[in-house]
Amino acid sequence: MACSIRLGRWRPGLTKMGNRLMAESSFAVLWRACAAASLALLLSACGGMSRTDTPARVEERTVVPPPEQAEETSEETSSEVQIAAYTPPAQPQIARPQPNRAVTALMRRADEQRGNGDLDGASASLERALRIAPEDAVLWHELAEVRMVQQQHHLVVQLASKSNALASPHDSTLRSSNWRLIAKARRAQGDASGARDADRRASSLN
Amino acid sequence: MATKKKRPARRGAARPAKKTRARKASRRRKKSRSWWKAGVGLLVLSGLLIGGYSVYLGKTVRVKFEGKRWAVPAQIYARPLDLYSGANISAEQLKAELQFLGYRKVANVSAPAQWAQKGGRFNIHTRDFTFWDGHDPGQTVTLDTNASGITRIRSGRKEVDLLRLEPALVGSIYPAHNEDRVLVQRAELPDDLINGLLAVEDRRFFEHAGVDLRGIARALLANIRAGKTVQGGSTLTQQLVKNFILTSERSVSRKLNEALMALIVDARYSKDEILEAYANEIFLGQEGGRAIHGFGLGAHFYFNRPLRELRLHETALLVGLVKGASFYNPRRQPKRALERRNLVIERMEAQGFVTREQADKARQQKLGVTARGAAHGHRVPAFVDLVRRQLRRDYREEDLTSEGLRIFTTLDPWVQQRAAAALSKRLQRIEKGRRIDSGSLQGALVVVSAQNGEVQALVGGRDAGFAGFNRALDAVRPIGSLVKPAVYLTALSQPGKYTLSTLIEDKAVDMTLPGGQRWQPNNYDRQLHGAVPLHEALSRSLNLATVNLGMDVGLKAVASTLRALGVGRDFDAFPSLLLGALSLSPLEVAQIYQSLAAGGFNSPLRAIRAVLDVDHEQLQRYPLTVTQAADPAAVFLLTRNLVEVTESGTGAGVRRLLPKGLQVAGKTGTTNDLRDSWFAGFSADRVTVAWVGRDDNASTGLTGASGAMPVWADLMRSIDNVPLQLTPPPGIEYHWVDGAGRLSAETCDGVVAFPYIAGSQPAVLSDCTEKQGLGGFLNGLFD
Repeated sequence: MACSIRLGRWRPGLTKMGNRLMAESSFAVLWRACAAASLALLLSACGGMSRTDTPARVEERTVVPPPEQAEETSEETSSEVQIAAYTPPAQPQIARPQPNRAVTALMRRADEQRGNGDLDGASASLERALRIAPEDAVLWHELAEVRMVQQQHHLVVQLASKSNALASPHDSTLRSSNWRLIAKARRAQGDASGARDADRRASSLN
Repeated sequence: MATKKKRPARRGAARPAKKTRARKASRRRKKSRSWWKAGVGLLVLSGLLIGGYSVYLGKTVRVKFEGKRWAVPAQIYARPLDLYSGANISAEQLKAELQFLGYRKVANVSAPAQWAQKGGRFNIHTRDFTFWDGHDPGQTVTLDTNASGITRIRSGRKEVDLLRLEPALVGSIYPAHNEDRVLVQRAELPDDLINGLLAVEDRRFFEHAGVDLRGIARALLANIRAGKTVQGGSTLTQQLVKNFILTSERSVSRKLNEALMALIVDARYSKDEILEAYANEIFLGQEGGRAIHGFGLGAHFYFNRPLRELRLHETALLVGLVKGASFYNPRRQPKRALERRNLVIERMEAQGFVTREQADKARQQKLGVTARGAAHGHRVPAFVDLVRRQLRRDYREEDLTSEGLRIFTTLDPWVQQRAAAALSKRLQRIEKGRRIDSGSLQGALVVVSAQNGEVQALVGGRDAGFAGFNRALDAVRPIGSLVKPAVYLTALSQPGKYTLSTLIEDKAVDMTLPGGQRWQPNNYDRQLHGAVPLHEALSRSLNLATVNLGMDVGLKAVASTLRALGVGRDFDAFPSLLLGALSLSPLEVAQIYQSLAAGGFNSPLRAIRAVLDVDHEQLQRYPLTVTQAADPAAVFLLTRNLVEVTESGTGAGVRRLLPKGLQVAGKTGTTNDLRDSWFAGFSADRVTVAWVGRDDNASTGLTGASGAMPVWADLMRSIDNVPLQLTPPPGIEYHWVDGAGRLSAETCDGVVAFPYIAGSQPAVLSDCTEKQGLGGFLNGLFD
């Protein structure tokens, strides 16, 4: 099994949709440094098995203790606090891997192209970015947005679902945006109940 | 007179004798006519004859010259290479890519298509190129690389986010009469080429009127002096007429026709137009059934470069080939070709087109032609075959072979090269090691990108350059155990009933098939294993447990899983389906595994990204599409299980062949009597399917693990791969479970953390459920 981090039940903060590079507050810089340091530590422990361009995705596991045990222990939390003392000031999980410069540039270009009404160009740029970073959930979402403007509703639902499957479980902003897009596409397809269901899911994530 | 006028025009001028006879008869009938009158008549008549005939020839010329002159084959391009900081492109790959494109290595970069290297630093001047999504101007960049790839790209002092090398031309779809060409325009013809042609073929081209009487006289004189034909008096215009309009028949009348037409062509068209037509028509070589026409394709065919980038000695060779492309074939007759080339250079020098220095330098150069077929196209016949089949759905064959379409494909020439090498080398090694008749094994390899279904490489046989039976598409063989993931995915999609730790029965199967046939399959080891955890049944590829599981979830459900994963052809949902009584091609198998690798999202496999017409206008795009084929959570469980196959199951041997840290998922497949050896699997970014078998369908003596698997591993380790990270999608939880599938505390002995779809974890607790401590946490951390 791959290298894994156990995060316990602690849930990190979220970054805002569209604000891919975390806000450049000194706070964020500090977090990022911590994140990088601990990631580097973990990766070296795991034999450095990933490419170096983007921070590696680290398999997250949420190991839920057996039910009985969970009921028994109120110290459970204290043990987690103890753990936290061993790691550098608990860092928020980077909700999205940092895209590399090429991907950022292509996203910018796609944005411009979309602004100029060049939807084919925008989708071509996003597809190119997806060749570089195929598991980037935000790119799949952006492509779904372009297809929405092109009224390719069936494809929108699929692309947004794909984005959801790749999105970090903690990235509720992105996931909720995807559900809203799905709702919109389903509504356009005449699937009112499906749209309501998607809207409900979107709301539950907010 | 009226009748006389008509007759020759109708009959054509080929029979002058008859005309004279007719005239004689007429004279006998009407003796009163004077000689004077007859003389005038004769004059007028011959004037009309020649005039009429010229009109006829002029029309022939116009038909040929105007409108579309040639059927221009569609050109097939590989994918362009994206270069950016962080790209996992080694210096070795970069050099190979530059070589595919015919870039020249130089000390100092000064022109497009040149590169220089100093340690890990590359200077590259890219070519201009018009892509389907815009024009990229050529630029000079500095790339820094280290062991992990490209670390930085700059243009001058400016950091460059991203650039791409233009795609290599890898093939064309030429028409039935096998003429292949790449059109060039007059402006693209280098001066050296024109000068060379003038020097050797037709020095008074720009002065004469299509026929060069002085040239003919000079040639005649030279031939008389030599006592044999040493010089031809044909002008370029005459040569063009001969090749372009007339047949190659040799006769006086044809020679006259040729001269007459040359005069017409010269009168009607500019010298530039004539040169352009000549440059595109000229025959420059033959490769199998493919005829190389025009200097545009000639430059690619012999030097793997566009015409404008050729140097004097290279251009001179092409000019030399005009006289006889087979006789002076530089690949077969290098000595002859070199002499001819140097003669061209000498004439150019003698006529002052090049200086003594330039000529000397050019003469010292080697021929410099690429190995046969090594550079330009047709070394990827299997892939071109796939492209052609995909194009046929949208285009008429005629348009493909004649409209000069530009086809941008997904082919990754680097991966393709590695794949071809992996297959041929490994098969040789297996044959040697197992004393199998040399050459009896065959195979196929397919590589697709995991998340978007682009076909990156396709090898249709062990001689990848040979356009024969395309096994990657046409070897439709039973897939054996490669089908099992579909059975297990069907089960795991019912989390209320099946999880990775659910115990299933590996017990005897005895049933009657729909045809009345009795079916008693066995395990490979011919043992019964009793109750085994589901994950183990798959990783050990237990047949009986799989059949029992498959019958339990239902054949219909398994069949519909297979269809959702991308099996397009019809098949019977008999129980034997559960053990792979389903025949598919390697490409079709790749589709199934692509859906799995993409987390349950099927992307129809594509070999084409876009099609542009001859003016770079986009005709069609083949966009990225996805369809959810299965629940991503269930696919995640299956993927984890397929990783186990490669770690401790039937595919464990693959670990020894792969670099440390490259986590992959995969499945072996072996069919009855060891006829087919399969391995299908994926990293985070590539799905690869390998098949090894024999064309006569006899036993190979190989299992999936001993035949296809090493081929697969050889390829995967020779290209860059992102390791599978097993990032769980939403809705997955990990729980510690003991060997009997009971929930346990993580500090207990022999427990393993399994992923479960939330709520499906076992309800039964083991005896060991103590509280977990810090040690437990650390175990979890580095599990």
